[in-house]
This record gives sequence, structure tokens and C-alpha cells, in this order.
Amino acid sequence: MSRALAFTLTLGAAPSSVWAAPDGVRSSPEHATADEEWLSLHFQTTVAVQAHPTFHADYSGKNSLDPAAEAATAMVMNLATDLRLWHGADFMFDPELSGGAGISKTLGVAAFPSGIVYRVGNPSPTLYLARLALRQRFDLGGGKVHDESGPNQLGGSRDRDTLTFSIGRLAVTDVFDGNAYAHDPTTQYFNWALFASGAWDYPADTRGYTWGALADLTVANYSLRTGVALLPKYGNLLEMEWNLAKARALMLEGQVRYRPGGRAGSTRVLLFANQARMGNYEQAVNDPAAGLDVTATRTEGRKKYGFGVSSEQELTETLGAFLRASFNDGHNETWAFTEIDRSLAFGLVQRGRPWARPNDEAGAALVLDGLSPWHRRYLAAGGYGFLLGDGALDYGLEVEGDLYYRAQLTKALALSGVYQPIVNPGYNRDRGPVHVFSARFRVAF
Amino acid sequence: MAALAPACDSDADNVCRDVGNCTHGGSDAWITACRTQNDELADEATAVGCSAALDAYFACAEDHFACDGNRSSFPGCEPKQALYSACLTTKDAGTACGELARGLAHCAASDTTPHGSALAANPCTASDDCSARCYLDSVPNPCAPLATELAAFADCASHCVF
Repeated sequence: MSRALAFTLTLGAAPSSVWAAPDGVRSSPEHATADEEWLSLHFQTTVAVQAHPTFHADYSGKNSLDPAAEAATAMVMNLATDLRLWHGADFMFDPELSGGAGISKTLGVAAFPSGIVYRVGNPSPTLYLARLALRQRFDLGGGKVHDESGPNQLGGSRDRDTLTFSIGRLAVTDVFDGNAYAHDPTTQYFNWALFASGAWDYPADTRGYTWGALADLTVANYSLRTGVALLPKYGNLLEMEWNLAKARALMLEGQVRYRPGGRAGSTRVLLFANQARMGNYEQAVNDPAAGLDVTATRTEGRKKYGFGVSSEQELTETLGAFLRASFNDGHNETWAFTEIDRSLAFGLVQRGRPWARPNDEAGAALVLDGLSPWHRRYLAAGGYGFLLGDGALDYGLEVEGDLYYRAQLTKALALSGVYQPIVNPGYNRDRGPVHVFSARFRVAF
Repeated sequence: MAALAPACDSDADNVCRDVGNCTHGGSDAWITACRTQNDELADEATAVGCSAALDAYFACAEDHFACDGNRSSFPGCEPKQALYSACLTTKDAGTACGELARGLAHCAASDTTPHGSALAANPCTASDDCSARCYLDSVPNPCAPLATELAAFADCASHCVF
């Protein structure tokens, strides 16, 4: 689900600057300027058609990817409004419109192949509030840098070292888990486990947004971030639990930036701890009263711990590499993102300058996802999660490729072709492989 | 921008949302059907003069909603439900129970429809009234229900939040 759009506004409008600053910060050292943009308005819409041909499946369950050939279209549109309130403070207001559906109603693949679909039942276009947040930055010295104007970012000068607080409705992935090469499904890789750490059951409603308070301290080549955010009241639903004593997501992330051989690189390590009224896979399997339904075992106070590592490295002026690795303990029910308990992803991104199309981009990545022992036993016994459930399971790693080419037709217009082969969809060796093809059209200004 | 502001849902609508989220995985279809069912009951309660009792029940149900695992309950609302049931019983003629009883009265003497008989013979509780409304909506000829109609009746009755 994507909640993927959450990331659109972080990196999507400034692909060139990503190469200049691989930590995803759209800024570059320049002379200080008194010019401060007071209002920023950016729009983007992405439409994607996705299809797969018939594939082999020994059996299917109610949450399986349909083995018959199918196609689906989804779209998302958002307006990023950012208003400067006073020095260092801005107010974000982003309405968003989304509609359509994923193939097989966004079921049957843990690392789902479309980053712009949501796991909501209603495919009709729906307008909702994506962001409504106040951000206050305190300048801490270290020289001046200039931020380019972008979605949810005002142009203007600031100190290199900053302490920034954000509070309100937002996407936690705006601040945490960034990666210059794998973070925006509207322009980069399309797969869920590539725009975010797959095993981070990150706090969000089914559309990718939540309410929270986040802090980011950046000093020279180091950043330390922390935050608390709401989790859904029920697994994979829109309603949030506002009682932090009952449910909450805590995050702590450290980042270091470096330049080996003069090439920019960065590594982030994220620790997370979620608490919510989750069900427990072991109990669902062992307790006959649960009827092999993990939702019947939901109890207050259940926790989920884990970590995520996100690295990126510029290799040449036009070639970059990334790696994502993440893990959660996998004892309790998947609550907000997707049914992945272990994830490893890596890939390369090449800009088009060598073939005289400097704004085009090609990427190739591999994703390997796995489940905890109890999670796989639950699915093997015939249990259903909110995304997976074939009625049985011959467990194997879910392995996916993600190959894309983005042709930047004009400054505002881009067309991408994406191919994603999926081995063991839903971790099931009795199903697949399946080949998923997508065409993605994006307008942004 | 109006769509950004959530509409003010009634207590009954909120009860459907809560039960749907807890018990039915947030199914939009279930929640919509539940709300439709509640609207029909509200119209009926208004017609027979029991709307205050029904509103009081739903207000209580919203305030006291509990979700244990994936089971919904409304602890402490039994008295409100009993008051509503009592109101329906006294106004039986105007309720779905009464309507169903009258429909069944036209059936042949050999008719043995157990559901209708039970509804006709017993006081009309809130649960009975909701079920009777489902039966009337799902089965055009109460005397000769088809299997598919009974399936629709069972599905409808599953949306009764009593």
C-alpha cells in the first residue's frame, strides 16, 4: 500500500540534486542569501498500469495473487503546500487524491510490486489529508547552505547544522529510512521493499500517513533522529489509536555521511519499537479457540522490535548503489506496512548522461524477503494475514527483481517502464514465478 | 476540500464502524450494509415511537464498545437494549416483527416456517426486530423462501449490531 506516496514529496521533484547530496537533503553549500521563499506549491500526479500474464499455482487462497492474467490501474495526485510562518518555521498542508487498485486487490505479494496503490477497499478516487504539520528549525552554525525550493521544502539559506522538530500529520518516512536511490516509487523503484525498509512495520494508516512528533539533529556529517507516532487502532486500517499508552511507534535513527574517494555516501541505522493491540502468530497456531485467526488473539500491549539499515554510495558521476537490510522479531501480527519480517535489497541506479539523456534514469535491484518462524507456520497452517494467505504454504524466500527505465520527456513529464519478476509470491514455492510489467506516467511541477 | 473534513457520523454509524473494524477487518462492504440496516431500523423505530430508546442504545453502544481479540461487545448496555426491546414489544404491531407476523399469517395452514413462527410467537426484541427486517427485505414471499433468499437473509442478519 501503499503508503508509498508518502515519499513522493521527499525526493521526487529534484532528482538531479539527489546525485549531489546522496543523503536525500536537497541542499548544497552556497553563499548565504537573504532571499527566503515564503510559499511553496508543488503538484505531482502519477498514473500506473500494471499487469501480469498467467502463472502457475498449485493452489490459491483468499489472499493470493490471482494466477490468471490480470491488469490494474492506479493513480495518485498530491499538492504540496508549504508556508513560511517565521524564521525557521513552516507549515505543511498537503491534500492528496488517490484511486484505482492494485493487481489482485493488492494481495498475495509481500513486497508488492506497485508503490502507488493503497490497501483500501474502495477504488473510487478519494480526496484526503496527507500532511498537516508544523516544522520548526533551529540553526546551529557550521556555515551556510542553500535549500532549493521543492515539495514541502522552502527555498532559502540556513545553517548547515540544524535541529528540526516536526509535529502533526505527516509521513514518518519523510524523515526516517531515507535513501537517495530507493525511496520514491513515483520516479524510482516501484517495489514496496525498495521505497522503504521492508521489515519496518512503520507507523501509518493504510495510506501511509500518521500523526507524530519527530526531531532531527544534523551536525556536519552526522544526523540523529528520533520520534514518536501513532499506530492504527486496528491492523491495516485508517483509524488511529490516539491513546499513546495503548499504541505507539518509537524510532531512533543515526546517520553518517562520508566521501570515500570523493564520492558521496551515507549509511543510516534505524531502531524501532512498536506497541499495539496486535495478535500473536504462535497463539493463533496453538490455541484452538483462536480458530487459526491471528486477529482473534489481539491483546493490548504487544510489541514489535527491529532495525533497518539503509546505505547509499555514489560510484561514478552517474552511477550509484544502495543497500537496504531490515529485521523485526516477527512474533506479533503485522500491523501497518506489510508482511515482511526480514528483508535484504540492493541495486544500482544509472543516470542517462552516457547515452546523451542526462535526465533519464535506469535502475536494477534485487529484493529478498522472509518471514519469522511463527509467521510462516501460521500461513502454512492456513492462516490469513491482511496481505497474504494462500491457504497453505511451502515456504521459500520471496525474491523479486525491479528493473526500471525512466524517460524524462520534458521537465515536468516522465514515462517509466518497470519489469518485476517475482519468485515465490507470498513466500510460496508452490506458486509462481510471475512476471509483472508496469507503465508509469508522471507529471510534476 | 469538503471531503477532507470528516462528516459527523451518528452513534449508530460509529457503532457499525467500530464493529466492522474489530470483527470484520474494516470491510467497507460490511460497514455500509450495517449502516443501511441501522437506517432502516431507525425509520421503523421512529414510526412506532421507539426512536429515543434506540438512540439511547446506540449512544451507549458507542460509549461502551469493547473489542476483545476480534469479538465486539457493548458491556453495560444491556439495560438500554432491554428498554428498546420492551418498547418494541409494546408497539409490536408497527415493528418488523409485527409486519412479518402478519405476512406469515397469510401462509397456508401447513406452513412450517420456523423463523417466522418464532418471531410471531415471542416478544419482539431488538435482535428479533432487526432479523425480521432482514427477512422481510430478503424474502419477497415470506411463505416460500428460496435458498438464495435465506442466504441473503443470513448475511443481512449478520449486520445486526444487537
